[in-house]
Amino acid sequence: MKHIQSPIIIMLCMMLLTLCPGHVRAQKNNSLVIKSGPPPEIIAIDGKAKLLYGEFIRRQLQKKHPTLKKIVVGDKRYMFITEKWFMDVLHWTENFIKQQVPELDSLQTLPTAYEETFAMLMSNIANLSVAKRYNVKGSVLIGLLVAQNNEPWGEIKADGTFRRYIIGLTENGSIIYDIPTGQIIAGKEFSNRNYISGIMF
Amino acid sequence: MKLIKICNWLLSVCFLFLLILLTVPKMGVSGEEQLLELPMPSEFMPAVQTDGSPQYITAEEIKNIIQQHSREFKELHWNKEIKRFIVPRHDWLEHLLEAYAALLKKTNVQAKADTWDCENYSELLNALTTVRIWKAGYYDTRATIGWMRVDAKEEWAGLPPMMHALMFGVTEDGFFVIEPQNGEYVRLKEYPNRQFIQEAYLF
Repeated sequence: MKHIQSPIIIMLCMMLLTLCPGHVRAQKNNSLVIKSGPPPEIIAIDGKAKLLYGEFIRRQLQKKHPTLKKIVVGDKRYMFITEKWFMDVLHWTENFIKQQVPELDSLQTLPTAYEETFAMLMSNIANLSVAKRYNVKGSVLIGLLVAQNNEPWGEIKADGTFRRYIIGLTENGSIIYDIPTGQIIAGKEFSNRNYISGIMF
Repeated sequence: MKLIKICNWLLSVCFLFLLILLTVPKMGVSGEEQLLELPMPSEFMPAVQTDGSPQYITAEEIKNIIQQHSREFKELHWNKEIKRFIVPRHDWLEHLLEAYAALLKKTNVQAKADTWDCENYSELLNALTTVRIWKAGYYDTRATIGWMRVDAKEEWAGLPPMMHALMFGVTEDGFFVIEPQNGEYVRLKEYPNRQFIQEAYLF
């Protein structure tokens, strides 16, 4: 019996010990463990970040898209990022939301106004990342684009409705991403580029 | 007898191994896959009505409250697809602010014009709040937590008078103005720059 009793006592002690770190974990429940994103990649000329004034961007966009009614360019200066880093931040943001809300995958439709929150989260994560690494005064050009579906694009039908996309300006020009279908395209090839009604950075 | 001894010894070894597995903290598998542990607020808790259902208010009601206090108020912006906004419990708002302060401390980011300024502090908190609302299963609404632009004339929460972006939150206890850079908050009627709130955003 002695041989049986001693390991049982040891096991009981161990169980008590395991409860202590378990308690610590319970307190830490409100944290998210996520893979850190790759370092920011901004476009620089002669070691200085390539910056554009917000007002200049606004005028350029108005000239290029006469259908554009609403443009929000909140910051004074903006910087260009690499296409690769745009994609990295996009995937990181998707991963962040999915880890927080895994139920989204099983939903028929995304939450109301999902794209706005996604764009806000993505652009601010990118800015936070740049602010930590570089001493530069400028915001990344990641935002929300609204366009009327007058032309089909892959899985998206031309139904005349207004649709929201994620837009980023990179060294290769603009990139447009559609969250529900996961489609991505260069701005100059975007089928509804003549029906853009709003851009918010 | 010898067999029992061996079995006991094996059982103890297995238990020890399990104990080690449970207690050793999670680590990245390599230098390239560093893991971040980000503080997050607790599960969203809505304020409830007398019948136990969640409390909601409309954007117009929020607009009216701001209009009553600010002579410079121009517009409240919100997505018109959202018909009503869910009111968080006041203690959840406090927890949200604590978690956000811990997150900022962890990132150790310093304010920097354009790149990381007052608007960024507000927008990130706003977006994180919405993700927490989704996590709680509220997919067709937003919390009554937003951000606003104020042409501040008086110093408040350690920030000098200037054009400034900061947060607001409506709970069952009332309407509060929040400084997201340090978590300080005050009732709207006690906020020294309430007359100079110009625009508010509920997204």
